[in-house]
Amino acid sequence: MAQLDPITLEVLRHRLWMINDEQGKVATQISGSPVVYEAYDFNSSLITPQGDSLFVGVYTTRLSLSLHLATKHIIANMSDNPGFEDGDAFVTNDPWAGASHMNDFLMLAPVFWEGEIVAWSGIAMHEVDVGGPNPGSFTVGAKDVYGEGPVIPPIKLVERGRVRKDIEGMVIRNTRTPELNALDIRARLAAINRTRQRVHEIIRQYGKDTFLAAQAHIMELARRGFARRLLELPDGTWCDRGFIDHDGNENKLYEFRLAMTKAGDRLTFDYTGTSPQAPGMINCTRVGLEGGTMSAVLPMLCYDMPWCPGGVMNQIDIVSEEGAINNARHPAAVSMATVAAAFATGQLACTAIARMLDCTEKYHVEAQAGGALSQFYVVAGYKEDGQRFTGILLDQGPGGGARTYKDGMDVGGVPGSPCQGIGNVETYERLYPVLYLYRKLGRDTAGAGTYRGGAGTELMIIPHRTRQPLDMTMITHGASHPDARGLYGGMPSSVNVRLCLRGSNARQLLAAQLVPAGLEDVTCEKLESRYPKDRFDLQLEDALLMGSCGGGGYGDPLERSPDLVARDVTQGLVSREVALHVYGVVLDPVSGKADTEDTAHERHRLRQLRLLEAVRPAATSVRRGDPPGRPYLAGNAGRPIATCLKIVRRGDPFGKLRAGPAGRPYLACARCGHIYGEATEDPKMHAATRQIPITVFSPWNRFGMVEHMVGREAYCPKCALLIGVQVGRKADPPFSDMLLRL
Amino acid sequence: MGYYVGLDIGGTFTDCAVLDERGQVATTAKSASVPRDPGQGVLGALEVAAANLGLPLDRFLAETSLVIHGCTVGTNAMIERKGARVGLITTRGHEDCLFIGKVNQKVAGLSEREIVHQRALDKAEPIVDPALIRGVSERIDSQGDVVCQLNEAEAEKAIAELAARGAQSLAVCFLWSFLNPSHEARLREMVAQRHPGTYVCTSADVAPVLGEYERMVTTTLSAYLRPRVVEYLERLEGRLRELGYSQRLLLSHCMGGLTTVDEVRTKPLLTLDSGPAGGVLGLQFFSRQYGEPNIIGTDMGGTSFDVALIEKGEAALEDEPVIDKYVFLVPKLATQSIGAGGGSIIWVDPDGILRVGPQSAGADPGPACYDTGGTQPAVSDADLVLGYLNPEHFLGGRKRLDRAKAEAALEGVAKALGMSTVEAAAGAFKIVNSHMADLVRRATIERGYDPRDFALFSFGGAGPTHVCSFGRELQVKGIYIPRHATVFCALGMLTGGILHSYEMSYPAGLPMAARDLGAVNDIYGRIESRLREQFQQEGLDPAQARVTRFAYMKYRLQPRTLLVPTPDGRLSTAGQQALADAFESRYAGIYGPGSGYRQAGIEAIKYRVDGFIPSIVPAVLPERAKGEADPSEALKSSRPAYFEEAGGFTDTRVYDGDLLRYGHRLEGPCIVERMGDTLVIPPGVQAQVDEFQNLRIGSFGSPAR
Repeated sequence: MAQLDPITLEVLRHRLWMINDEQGKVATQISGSPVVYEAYDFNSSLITPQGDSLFVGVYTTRLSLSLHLATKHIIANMSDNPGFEDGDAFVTNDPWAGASHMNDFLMLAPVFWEGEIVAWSGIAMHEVDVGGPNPGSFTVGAKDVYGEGPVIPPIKLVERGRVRKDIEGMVIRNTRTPELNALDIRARLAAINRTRQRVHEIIRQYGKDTFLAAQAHIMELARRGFARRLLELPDGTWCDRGFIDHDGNENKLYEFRLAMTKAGDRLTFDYTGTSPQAPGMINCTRVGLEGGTMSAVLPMLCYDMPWCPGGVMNQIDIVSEEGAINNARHPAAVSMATVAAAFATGQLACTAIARMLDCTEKYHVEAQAGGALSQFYVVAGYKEDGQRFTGILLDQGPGGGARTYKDGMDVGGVPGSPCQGIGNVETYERLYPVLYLYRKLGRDTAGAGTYRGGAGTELMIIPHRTRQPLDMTMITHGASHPDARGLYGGMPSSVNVRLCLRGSNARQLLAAQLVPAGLEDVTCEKLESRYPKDRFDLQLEDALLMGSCGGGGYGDPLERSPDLVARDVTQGLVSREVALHVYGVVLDPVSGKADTEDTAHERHRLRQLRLLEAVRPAATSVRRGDPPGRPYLAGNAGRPIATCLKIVRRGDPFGKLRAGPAGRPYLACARCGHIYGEATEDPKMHAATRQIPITVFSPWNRFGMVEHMVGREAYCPKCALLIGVQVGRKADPPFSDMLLRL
Repeated sequence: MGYYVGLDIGGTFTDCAVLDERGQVATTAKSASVPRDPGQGVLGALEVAAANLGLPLDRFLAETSLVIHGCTVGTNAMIERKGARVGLITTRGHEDCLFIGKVNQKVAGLSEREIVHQRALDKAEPIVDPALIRGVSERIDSQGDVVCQLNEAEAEKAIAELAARGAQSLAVCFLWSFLNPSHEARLREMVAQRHPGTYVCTSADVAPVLGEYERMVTTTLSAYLRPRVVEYLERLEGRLRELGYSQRLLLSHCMGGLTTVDEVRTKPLLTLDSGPAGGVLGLQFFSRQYGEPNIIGTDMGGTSFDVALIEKGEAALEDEPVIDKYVFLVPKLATQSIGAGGGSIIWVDPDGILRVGPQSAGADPGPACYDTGGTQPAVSDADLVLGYLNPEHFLGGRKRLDRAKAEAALEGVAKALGMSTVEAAAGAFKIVNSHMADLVRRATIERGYDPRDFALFSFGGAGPTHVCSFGRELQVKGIYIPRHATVFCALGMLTGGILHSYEMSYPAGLPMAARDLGAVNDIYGRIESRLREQFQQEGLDPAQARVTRFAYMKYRLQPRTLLVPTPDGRLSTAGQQALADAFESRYAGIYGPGSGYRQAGIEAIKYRVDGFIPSIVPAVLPERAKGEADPSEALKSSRPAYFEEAGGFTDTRVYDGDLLRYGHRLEGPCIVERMGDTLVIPPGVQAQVDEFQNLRIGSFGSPAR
């Protein structure tokens, strides 16, 4: 590595990072795809001549690895034929060559200086439609990739600065939105051309060698920074399990498993045990597996350092069985990969990382309960004037996960996609023949907790200004089970809801000068809960309710300030039922304020009920030979693990410690001091537990798989303080999700 | 009779600039700002100005023909969340619109560096209490047709409840009201009948454009800030009148023009960033005087570095600016900002890399050299150690700097780097300058320009010390440091003209059908007659006004529009073709040739008309008599200063900026000490004092490595 003085290095690092930001910004300004400019489902990357990602944009983190993977593929396979020349650009949407799914078209271009490649520039954007049987190209009903939109392996679309018409024709021929896709090709080119210019400016000023040396140094700095962060975190293994419901053909559950181990300055994500690939569109390839993992790593562990995957990835191992649902072999169907298997993979990684962060005092504040996916749906049909249309509605948002110190953000959006937005109701009503009766913060969507998750949206639309039914395609998961995880005693969210109100009276209500603003305001002939992947006609007299889930909660809901619960009830975010049954808060029927005495009573009663209904724990594992006596806090103040646990040692804290050996470390209840067991064991194995129906978390969960899915609470056998709530299949045994190595 | 007074309230000082009737700067004045009563700071500055002129305040004001003011009350009320208690009435079912905030409210206005910290993101602090929002049954659709009649019983109840809960002003925003304002108008009527005197702001009035979220923000913000702003202005007008001022009060506004207090009553958001707008007016003035169409204005203070642009003589505007995460629909001067200033902290990261900012020592504890408790080194400490600042002459001698403290603070950083204190200071100087250059590059390139085609203006306390370094890095055409840099905004206001502007929404694809064409022509006609009426009411001659039409255009399905000037007179079918061409050439100018794609279709979304009456203040006069080139009369001392080009410290001449005259030529290396700033001119660079007594620096070879 050529030497570089640290001042020039800092100057160049700042400048290159900014250049990559700028490339992303150009793309959002001129892409015509709402998936790009509204949902920010795109990303850009500056890549080294070897194909390592130097900087990646702050946009959709699931795409953060796509671009350099595709570059490596292109370098490996195309250096000789067709070869690279100045001004060239390749495109691809091949999930086995770097794309996440076929909707994501990547453009990759070598940046030349005096005949030599000095960098690559890449940009990925989600197109509204790339062909295939279904409008929007999420192919409900496909069994494998042959039944989905066309896959285009890396192909040279731009030759020495000129778009090849024949290739472009092929690329856009199969889509329902050719003008849009062609415009987006130009948006990508504009963004890449600007990066080329900026790189050339730098080389003119600093020279090629300095520019190349800076790249190597930047990657090494990123690696070292990330390694340092890992060294500050405890060693151990944190696990999570999750599900995707419905594979596009059948409503069944696919399981995801993760054991994340941190040892020294390395982090290993092991997904062994995850379900085999599905006969439907929900799979992702290795690209989605790694991208999904990075969608948790970057925002949760790299929030204060440059996003340089090329450096960070050096400290990470990702283990997975080939042929798994998140590491699918050709020809698995993958059209929904980003918002199915790749997203689910990220959810597991997020949960495991949050659990790890909360095992340190320093990073307690950075831990966050789980968020979730927003629901997408595609609407197609004919407008009043007979004009055909296809559009994707990005009109809902899930709640954000609770923080360890405050509630999650109401409609906080999708984790790992910080800039994702939703459109104005007026924008959608202008583009598509629908009318929004309401769009609001959904009640009882947020996971309960000492700090609750953020609320998700709830909306209802009816067809409007069309003479024909609308062709609807639903694309989501987390419909059978709550997908936003609670953290350390916080509860999971509601499920994602899609209700079709057949033969509703919405129109009559409008005619009678009443705008319905909730499900309770509307009557209908038949209420259908639609599958998470579904295609159906919305008739002219029907209404459709879409309910996005909220975020997961943090900490035991019985510890939440009763005044905050009262406020949430007043604002319509929590029902009186949930306030009473989940939070144990009794509200004054007139003032709506919390009654202190009755609440204390009710909470006591609920704790007693937990103890009464508990399956007794295994005996605590206090070792023989440990010094007898009261538990005392280890170290100066005892090391807290989240807010519900602390590490203690046994023995006499007064006097004898200095002389005798320190006792073995144990995990104890932070509230009553009860010792669960050795600190290197999962306290849940020694906790009191009980199964509860998922409908406890939210009344919306009645639309989930109530007969198969259950919640499992684990709490202190002495004072009933919750330390964990898992969601799983009824028959599954509980799983260990935290093993500290001290 | 015949003074013209510009007044700008800043965070620390309230500035005043006074022109006499010939257009010469009669005096400038500063007085401490009084945040709880800004008017007091204004009167303080006026008193100082009067004293400078040897006049009692009442006589000075009686002889003043015009006072122009930059009013920060709205901005401050917003930042401190001290606006009025607003009630919001909207379409039933859409009451949560402001809180949903299109989800990405959480990142609005944030930089990429802030966006990556997912856990720390939050929505905007509310400007309206959720208990003061009411939905009313009514519905209009995308064609402006009524789908659900306004339910007056519900409206009645909502108004009564909001009044009972103490709403001081009301915002009304119904869906699609910009196509059919009848329901909003009826609401206004109902409030006027029941609660006459309550201020009602309707969305179709303040922002008749598509997009309910931004419209609702604009409406609610207006209702939130208006009482504070109007209260303040009326009180100030009263105070000035009592003191003998009998003329009108004009305000500089965020679109880069002046307006009346009356217009602010209906458009209070115009006063946001009213002060900095004065600076941009000043840039525009010099753009005309110097024949420099493109100017980058930079302001480097204690904590931040701000950039504004003049493109082809016009101030660059943002169509959807953001204040504190709220996007609103009043075009506002575009500014970009990074945390780089005299107070930016210099530190060494765990990798042993020297870093500067974004944290700032601010004013408290301040840089180490202030000797006010700060121990971490800041950029000002580096400037001092390098010999650029004079410890005895900071802020015109009002403050002493402690060089030993600065060196001690830098020593820790230097040790960690294995460098000398001076090398560390020089490194930090270079890094902060390159960060500023990066921001200027971004601000220009983002709008399709090359910084090399711009002249750079520098003001703000720390700016002139650094400007030659980052200006050279950017290869700008030239650098100007204005004579009155410390009151540049107040002076700038005096060069502005009256600018009124309205916009309306009517999305239509090109080529437009006869019906759409008619509607668009009608919109232009309506806005223009409204402008005429307004000028008339203000006692101005509408015939004097320069009227400019614009259309906001884009390729179909794109989100972001470009502002395209539209020819006067009726828009014809042929005119549309020219319009489409103009759009495409502007588009290609920004995003590069071949980036457009006409087949995607082109559409116009919004239409704007500006009415402009040029300055009513005599133009600031240049000096006529060019003096000697030799600046020896201004030479006051010399001291060693560090220049990489000179291989280290070199004895450097120091000039008294107040003694420099038109015609003087300065050879680098040299330093110019002025009242509020210090200009550093490196070796090989020449500066001259021009007819406005501004310092002008020409080109300077290739950028340093």
